[in-house]
Amino acid sequence: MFHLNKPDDLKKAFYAEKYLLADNAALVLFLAGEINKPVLVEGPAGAGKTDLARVLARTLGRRLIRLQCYEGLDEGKALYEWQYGKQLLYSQILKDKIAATISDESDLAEAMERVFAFEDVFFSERFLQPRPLLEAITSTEPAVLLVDEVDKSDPEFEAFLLEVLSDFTVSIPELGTVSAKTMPRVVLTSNSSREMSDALKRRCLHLYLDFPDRETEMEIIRLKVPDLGETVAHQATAVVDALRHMSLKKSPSISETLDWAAALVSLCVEHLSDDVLDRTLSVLLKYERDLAQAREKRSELTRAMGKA
Amino acid sequence: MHASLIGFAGHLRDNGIKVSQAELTDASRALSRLSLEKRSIFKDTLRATLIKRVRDIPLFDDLFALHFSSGSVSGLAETDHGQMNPEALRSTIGEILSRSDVTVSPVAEMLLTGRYGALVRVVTDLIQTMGIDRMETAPLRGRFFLNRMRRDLNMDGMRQEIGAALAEARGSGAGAPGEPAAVSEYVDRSFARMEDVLSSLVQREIDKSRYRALRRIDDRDITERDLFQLTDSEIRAMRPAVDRLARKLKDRLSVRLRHADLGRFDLKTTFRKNIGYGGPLPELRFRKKKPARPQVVALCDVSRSVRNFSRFMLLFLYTLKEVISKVRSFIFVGDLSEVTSLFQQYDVHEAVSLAAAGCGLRYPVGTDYGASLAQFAEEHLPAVNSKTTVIVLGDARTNRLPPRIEAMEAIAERARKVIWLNPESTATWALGDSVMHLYRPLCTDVAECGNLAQLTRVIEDHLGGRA
Repeated sequence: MFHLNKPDDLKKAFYAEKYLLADNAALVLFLAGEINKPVLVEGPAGAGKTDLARVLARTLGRRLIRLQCYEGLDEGKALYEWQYGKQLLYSQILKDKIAATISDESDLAEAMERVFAFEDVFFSERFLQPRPLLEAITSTEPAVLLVDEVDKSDPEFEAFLLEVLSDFTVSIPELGTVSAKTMPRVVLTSNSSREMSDALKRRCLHLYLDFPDRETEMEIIRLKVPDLGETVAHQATAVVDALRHMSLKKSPSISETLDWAAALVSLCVEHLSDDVLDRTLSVLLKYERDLAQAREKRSELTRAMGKA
Repeated sequence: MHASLIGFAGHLRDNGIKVSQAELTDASRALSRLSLEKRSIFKDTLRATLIKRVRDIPLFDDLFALHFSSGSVSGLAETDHGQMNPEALRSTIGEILSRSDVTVSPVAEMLLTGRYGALVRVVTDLIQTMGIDRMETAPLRGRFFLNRMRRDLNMDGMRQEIGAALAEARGSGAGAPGEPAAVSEYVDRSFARMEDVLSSLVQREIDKSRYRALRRIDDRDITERDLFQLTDSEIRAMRPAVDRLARKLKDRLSVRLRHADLGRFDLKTTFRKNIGYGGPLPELRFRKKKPARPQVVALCDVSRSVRNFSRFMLLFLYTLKEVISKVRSFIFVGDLSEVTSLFQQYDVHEAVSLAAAGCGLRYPVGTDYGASLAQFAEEHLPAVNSKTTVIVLGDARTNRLPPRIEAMEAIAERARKVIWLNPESTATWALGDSVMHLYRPLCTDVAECGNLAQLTRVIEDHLGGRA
């Protein structure tokens, strides 16, 4: 396992994993480790939020435990669940066993004494099915916990997330409080479809991942799709940048840029012509209306390409 | 470090950004773990620990620049001394001053011998006592404050004292160390820098107070404001607050829906779920009750007199998507037009603006309630059924045109509820050309709502759960 002491070291480690980490992102991740705080990452879809957590786990050499949030996600799916079936079997075994144990006792009080002498395992960790949150906390090896798209969850879910995030403990009514054996690194991602509560935000460091500027995106392409020619790459980032400045229903994300770059490589494009642009634009834009708008304003895109 | 951090947090709070004590502690803990060789590290750290909402980031950037601007007093240390060696000059001047008979103000001594820390304290204390930082907006008073600061510090007097001390040293010639020219050059530059710093400090305090004044306008409780008087820019400024209000309303309504969630015991799924336990039924299953989410048809008058009001009504209706199953919206002035599709195409705020501007109307002047209602009854009556709540927004001022009561009757007959919201106060309802008294008996409820508080109350009363 690495020990990453400086934001710059983190940047390098991420670069080795082909993730271009911005200065402020490196700083926030570094601080999160230093002062043991979860990181709440917000930003447009496809800006690399989930990947950030994934790569963080890899660079730290930790296991990634992922909790995908959705509407209706409850404790049973996120924290823990009792295994009723096993508990039931156990109580049946217990019945037989008790009969055998107290068969030679004549007195009720003594029989009770003997039963109580046995360990009570009915509500014990043995019958507990840990779900991601509990798993991250009880893991003997430190892990990275990714709570993905936390804005999709219900407000109630936030409430028990709070306990995990601030104290790294989970309260189980039957058992008491389970506290973390090892400190997990926690990353929460959100598309801001719902504003998270202040209580949750207060407990996190905040990181806003926006779309990168053109130079950065060039570097990302160089890193991820090294086969793409330099000229085409310049033109491509110019087009993407121009598209992001239009008022589209969904702006092209980094992952779509990369898909497009890969498509251009497999089409052996040396120079981005109007024709190629027209035919491959659907890789970038996913709505018919956006496509129509982009075609309408093709002169703008061509101009942007010309400048590149 | 700590004092300035707390000061900055106060500044953020003044401008409506919530900063808790815990976050402040985080910030200071974080800063203690870093080597702050770069300004950007300092800034990013504060941002990550103190700012938790994306929309606060631009404001944070501005305030950060204001608060930690390089024109601050500590900028004194950055005086450009050209080719000179400030260290040597400082000790030279120190010697001259200690030997001189002229008494020099301690402030000047601090400035020239490089004791900037002490100087900073003097100047900030002065700002405190003068109360610039508590000053209301008064851009023209900047000069006044600057002059007063210069006078209080006795800048001109200090300059003369130093001049005298230097002349004396030169006159005595008693081994005046260093080059006289360099020394006086150094003195000149230091004083010039001091003047710069003072004026930029005053400017900064003025900028800060201007921020506070801006904030004060927003702060006035928006829910109680009369919607008639709002300008476009004010409406834009109100957006975040309105969004917040709408979200609160939605949360309240959806909690009500959820509590009404549990339906009857479901024997079939309970058996299926518990097959594995061979007999006992530890896990009970209940049928989910489908909440009766109301469908809404909104008819909004967008003539000049009630336009703002319609705006907010539409805004609220579309923010409540989770609670309301279906909204169809129509706007009218002289005739009626459906604008539901606008809301599918554009962002809510944009769609509301388009709708309020009367997009799609043939006769956008002179409200004709009768004709608009009749047109609705004729063309869109199937949109109304027993699950529909019809909300009409308008002042019911018909410009003396026929009110067409029968159209309203036809609508009321089909709808579950008809609610008429009138932005005018109840007292004026029967006055002039208002026909509110004619429509009133046909409505399930009529309500006055001229501000957002009244509006939210009506929505909550009529659209919450199975109310």
